[in-house]
Amino acid sequence: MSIIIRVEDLRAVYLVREGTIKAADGISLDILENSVTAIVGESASGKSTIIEAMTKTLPPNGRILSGRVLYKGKDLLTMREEELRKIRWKEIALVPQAAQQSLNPTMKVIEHFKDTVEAHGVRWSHSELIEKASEKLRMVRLNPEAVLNSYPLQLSGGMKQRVLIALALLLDPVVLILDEPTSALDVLTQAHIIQLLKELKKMLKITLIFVTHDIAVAAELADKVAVIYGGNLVEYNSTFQIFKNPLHPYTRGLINSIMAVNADMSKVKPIPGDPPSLLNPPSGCRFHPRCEYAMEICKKEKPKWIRLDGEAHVACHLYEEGRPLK
Amino acid sequence: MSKIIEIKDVSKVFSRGFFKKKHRVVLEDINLEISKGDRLVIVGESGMGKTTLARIMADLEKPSSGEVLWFGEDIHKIDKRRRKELRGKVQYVHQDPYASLHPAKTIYKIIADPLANAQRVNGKTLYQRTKDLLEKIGLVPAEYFFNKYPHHLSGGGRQRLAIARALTTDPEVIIADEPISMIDMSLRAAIIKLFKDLNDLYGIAVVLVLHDIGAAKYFTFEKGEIVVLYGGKIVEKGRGIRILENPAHPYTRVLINSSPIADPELARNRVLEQLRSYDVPIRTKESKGCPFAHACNYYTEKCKEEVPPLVTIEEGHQVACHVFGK
Repeated sequence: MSIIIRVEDLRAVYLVREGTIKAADGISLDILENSVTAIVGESASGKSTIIEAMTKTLPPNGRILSGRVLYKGKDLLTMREEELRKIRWKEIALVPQAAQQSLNPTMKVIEHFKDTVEAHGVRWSHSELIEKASEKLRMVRLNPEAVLNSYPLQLSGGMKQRVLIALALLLDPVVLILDEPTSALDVLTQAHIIQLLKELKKMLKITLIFVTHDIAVAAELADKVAVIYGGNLVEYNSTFQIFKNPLHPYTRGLINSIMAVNADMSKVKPIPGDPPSLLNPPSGCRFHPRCEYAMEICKKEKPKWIRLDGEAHVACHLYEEGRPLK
Repeated sequence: MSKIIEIKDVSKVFSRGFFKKKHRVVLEDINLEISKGDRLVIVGESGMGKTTLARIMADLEKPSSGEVLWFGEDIHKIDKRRRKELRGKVQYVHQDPYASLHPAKTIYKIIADPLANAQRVNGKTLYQRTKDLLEKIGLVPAEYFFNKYPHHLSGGGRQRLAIARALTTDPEVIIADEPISMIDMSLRAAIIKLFKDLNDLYGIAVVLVLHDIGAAKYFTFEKGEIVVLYGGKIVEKGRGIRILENPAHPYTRVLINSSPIADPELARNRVLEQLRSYDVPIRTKESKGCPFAHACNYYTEKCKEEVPPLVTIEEGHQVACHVFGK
């Protein structure tokens, strides 16, 4: 499989009154074509920053300090706005977080579709638009006749999320990026959306990238999982390996702390301590204050992002010293 | 076992409109008991009446009909003074620790003020008691946190503080509404563990409202009961592990079947049961039949007409279903 998006040494910060939040601190990641990649991390770990940089949708106080995001060999970060406009939605589409608030409450669903088409300079007749929109809505298992003429408030949370996915698919993108597609949804709706994304993946030739705080969602859907902690990538591996043989102590801790229905509850073990503040992140490896394997070097030096056998990448001093986690 | 809270035939109706003619039945004929040292989880999706039930238990909401007894006394019949005496014994922890703590009070004051009020202590005793309490819930070393404010804490830290505040009155029972829904993944298990410890070490009864079945399992796998709410009715009730391993009600089964599994292989091979509808049922006083009938795959004509009674199918396991309640 070839690489469709390559993130190289991305550094991004947010400027706030108290200082700078170091949200992405040297992130490198290759996204494979036609695969599903999950970016897993806790709140304020910098996981959304990665996709905001990929789509150049950082909030006004966000600054990209260095790095490149290469899509088909071109750097999205230095691209001019007109050029970017040709790629957005037609090639890379985004489903924003907070599906409940992302639709304009005063516009019918059909108008959202119309708006999207116009904003990206596509000339479709009204009947063409209806036809295409209906096709995409059926793809996400909504009834177009009922939904197209509804206002967002007439739709349930799960339906809104599906409308947003249909909207993102409208111009047949090659890459679909989803920010927390299942958060703020009920258990049954969440299972439904995951099921739907699985079907889309089979049906379309598409690269899916999604951000989630719930590693169990990644288990269901992703081919590869990137784990981010405190603005740093700590591990990147195939989903099966991540769950079978987690390399980084944080990944292992996260998996041991999952309270999933099928888990052996007597083995559930919470991770001690708190996630770091990105205003004043800990020195060296940002996980060291919570890590049971922490060594002297972990407090001083940031571990390198190293490649192990196969697809595995990890940033941990244990592996640099050749003393893998048992 | 002495009973702390008894809920007898409680119903709650919310009315709206100018003449209060429109109404919605949120809880219907609920019977529940909490005894000393119990663990109880109320599960269900949003809109099923979980929070309303928890609030009625804690006397934050009045039922439309039925009785709420605290220590055998009807809280709506006793005088104010007696109710105030009892109130300290029943404590409530709110869902959102970002909103439930005073932002301009130091952590010391957040605990010391209610402690001084409830226990009539001051000076050195107050200082020591505050310190002990913070250490009891895991904010260690306590002195380090005294002059900090809630915003210095993570979501998990704030929730611990909210729990400590609930403990200032030496409660017999703590009722917590979705205590982990606003908290990072890696800290969730630790908060549930804290509730388990409070129950084990100090014999405090704990009632948790959860939508996360995995967390419900983690809380009750050793001991405790689960109550499943659907459409304002108890559809299944019993020993936690029995319900999770051997669910009888079709709704409970779908809920368990749809919960995330933290195992890529199992997750990929599972078949999701599809319901006939995913709409939240809106019940009125005129509603007939089982609230789940519109969605259930096993419904019969009887389900549309008659409300199924809660019947015991094995020791400590009750279900309200015409088809599976035998």
